[in-house]
Amino acid sequence: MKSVNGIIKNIIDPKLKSINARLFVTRNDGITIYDSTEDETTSSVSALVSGVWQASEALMGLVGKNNNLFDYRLGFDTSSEGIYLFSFEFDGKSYCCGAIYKDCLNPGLLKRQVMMLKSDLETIDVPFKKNKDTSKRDGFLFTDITDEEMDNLFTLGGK
Amino acid sequence: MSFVNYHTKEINCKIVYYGPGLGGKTTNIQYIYQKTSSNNKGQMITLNTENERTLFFDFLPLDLGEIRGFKTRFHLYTVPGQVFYEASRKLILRGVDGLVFVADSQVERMEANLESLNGLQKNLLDQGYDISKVPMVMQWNKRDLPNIVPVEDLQYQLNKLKLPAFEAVATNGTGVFETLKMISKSVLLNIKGGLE
Repeated sequence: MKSVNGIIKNIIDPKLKSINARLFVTRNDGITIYDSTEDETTSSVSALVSGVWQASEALMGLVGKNNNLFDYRLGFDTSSEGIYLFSFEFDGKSYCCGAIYKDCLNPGLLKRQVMMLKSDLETIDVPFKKNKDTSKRDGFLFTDITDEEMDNLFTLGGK
Repeated sequence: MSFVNYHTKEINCKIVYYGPGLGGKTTNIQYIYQKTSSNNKGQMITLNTENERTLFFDFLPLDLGEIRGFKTRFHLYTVPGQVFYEASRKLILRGVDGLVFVADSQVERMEANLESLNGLQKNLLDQGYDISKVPMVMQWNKRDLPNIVPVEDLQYQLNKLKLPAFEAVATNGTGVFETLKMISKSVLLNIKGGLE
């Protein structure tokens, strides 16, 4: 069985040649699922994207509670650079996908390409469910953790 | 909700520092940022007002190391403490794995502590969480100030759930890592999904 990250990576990676932008997918709690430019800013990008998207959702909730939030797109751009976001549902959970682009000659085309990516991401739900097997993952991941293990974890952190 | 990637052996957890305005939530995160080696931390994000109050959230990603073969990544968030940012606080609680309630020990801030704690309970409920089931640690901050409430009173008024509690002076780091270590352990022990 492939992980969510692996499945999404397999869908987005081939598109990177034609979409000249940083592409990413984040969970709505800000955890990174995919980033085409993995670097020290990856976690921050995910946290901020999640915050922006959730704040926008909440804003729309104030004025139109019956709207389908998966139909929305969010853009913050000039005529050549910006960020473009949309959300999609996968395995019953909602994710935010987006593109950050610079020096783009045709942002309209880029947005169109990104929206086509949304269609691809939304159609992976069924095969993923068929392969899913979590039967061996009932209960808790750790039944006990010693103080020594925690000390080691925090020693690595530089404390 | 924590995210465990069994293929890459990674655990991602979200810890939120909650509490009344000017209680020391941001100071906790800043101290952790200062004392963590650059290999283990990402960029700290602060979304502040012009007068340095938290507007939306502070964010600090920490890559601490491995525990039983799993790479652990903690995402630390603070909420804005000021009363009128309730909507933002509610958003930041989405997907929370663990909470640190940073209480201001000063006598005159007891009402604000109680108001914030009640707000937390309500906001968690709105997100479908039961406060008694979310890993949580209390921190009695500002213990170096003169006009402070005795710890017994703080325990009585704010810690009905008998959660682990630490005295702290976040400005000099006292109790900051002890608090973080405790909430991290509680969160790790609460992660659902057994080993394959």
